[in-house]
Amino acid sequence: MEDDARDLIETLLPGYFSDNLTADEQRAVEDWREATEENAVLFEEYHRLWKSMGLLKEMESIDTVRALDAVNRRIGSAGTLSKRFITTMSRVAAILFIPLLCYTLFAAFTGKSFTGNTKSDVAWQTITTGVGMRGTINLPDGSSVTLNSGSEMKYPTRFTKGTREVQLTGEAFFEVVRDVRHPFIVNTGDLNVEVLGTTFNVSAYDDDKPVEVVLATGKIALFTEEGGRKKSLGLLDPGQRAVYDHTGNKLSVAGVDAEKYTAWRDGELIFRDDSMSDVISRLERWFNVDIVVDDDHILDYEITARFRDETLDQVLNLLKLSSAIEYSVDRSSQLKDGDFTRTTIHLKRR
Amino acid sequence: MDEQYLISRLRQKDKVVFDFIFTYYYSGLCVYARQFTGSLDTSEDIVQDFFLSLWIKAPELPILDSLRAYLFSSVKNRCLDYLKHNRVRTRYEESVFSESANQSDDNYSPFVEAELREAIERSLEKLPPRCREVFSMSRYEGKSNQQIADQLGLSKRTVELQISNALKILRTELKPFLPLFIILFKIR
Repeated sequence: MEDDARDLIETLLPGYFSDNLTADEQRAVEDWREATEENAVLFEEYHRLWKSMGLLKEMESIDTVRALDAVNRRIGSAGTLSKRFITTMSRVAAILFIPLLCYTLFAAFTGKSFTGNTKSDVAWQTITTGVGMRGTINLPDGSSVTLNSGSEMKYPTRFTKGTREVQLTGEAFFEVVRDVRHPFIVNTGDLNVEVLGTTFNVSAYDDDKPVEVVLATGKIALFTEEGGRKKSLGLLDPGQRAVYDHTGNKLSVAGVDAEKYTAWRDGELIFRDDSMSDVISRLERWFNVDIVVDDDHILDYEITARFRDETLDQVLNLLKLSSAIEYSVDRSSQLKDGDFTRTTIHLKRR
Repeated sequence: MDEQYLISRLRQKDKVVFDFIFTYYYSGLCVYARQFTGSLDTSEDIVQDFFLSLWIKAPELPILDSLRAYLFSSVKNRCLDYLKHNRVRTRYEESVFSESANQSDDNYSPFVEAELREAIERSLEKLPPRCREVFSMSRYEGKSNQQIADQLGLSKRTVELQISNALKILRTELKPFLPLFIILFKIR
């Protein structure tokens, strides 16, 4: 009997809280609430639950990213950022300088070794970035390429054929100088990207991962080559991301925030509602570590964060603070043969 | 422990830690401030001003037991200053003064968006799917029972039953979290 009455009231409560009831219904709810002490307590509990969901809705309406930008602008104009800016720039300069130095030495070396060959032969250069390094290369046509950590690109010292073709393993951001008569082609083994003049990001690490292409400006065409035949897969518009799965020969295209995929050029690591498995594979490459997940639930977590110049410990600490994660670190140690083991991070649920 | 790490990094003007704290607490602090000021726009201004001065004065940050309590009580003081300054008399004010004496850290949890969402979602997850859908439509999307019934092709009575079940399950699941809301709802 009493349960029936409560059922009835409970069906009316949402309407009551949102002021959606007829006067009669409203009175029924109030009568029920006044009837017993217990009812009054129940009513309060429902009311709190209802309001807590309203609070959340209100918080969700607030644009935190915009607010942080506004505060950062004011911090900048207050002149407190200049010191940090300089230290950041010097760090960025150091990061960029090492691969450039490698490249110069490499070019000098290979240049010498090829001088004996016939002049029409075109030498192919290979440039590699170690894990945790980034570097920018200027190509013979004036285009520039920024290589991300653990990547390799092959390119000719001169572009002679009708096309400008380079080969990429890993991740790179391309700024291609427009030349309608000489299409620029990035070959990733499975997927090829053909452009005239644009800026875009290609991620094609050797793992079993799909190839990803994100277009920032301009227009690009994607195709595969089977037995010398070009098979077109379609065009990309700015702000679109294509994911090519070589196992199923499948291409999926979706609109994205291009900044998220290109921020690594400035030493930034941006996650926006990214799955933990995504976050882990990017952190592994970024810091050259292995991350082992001891509890599969963690893989369901979504992470939103923006890192810049952080040490691995700082990043892990912030992850720990923002989600229910505990971590432990096995530092790299030297083996008998002089090699080093990789640092391994274990993630557990708290 | 974790908070002490944040505090010490903040003192050294670690911008990333500042950004993290900002992102984590901003929306909740604004809604918390709105309880006092009555306006979300005003509250956003107050909270942004507070963060700006937090950054500028970070090296002189006092020794704190709890960063969270410091953030919320600083924002509250700024709201009260604002009210005094603008001679705004609201119905919130009186109760605010009387309730504010001994708040522990936990009392601020409902004002931390991530924590509130987790608590609510953990509870919603326990609901049967249909039930959750109906309940969310009713609460988050503000639909009437009739609208929900039309949209899902159910009878209005079924919708009412689903909401009733949802409330029943949520009542048990959210129980441990509910005392945290007490301060808040006394204020309103």
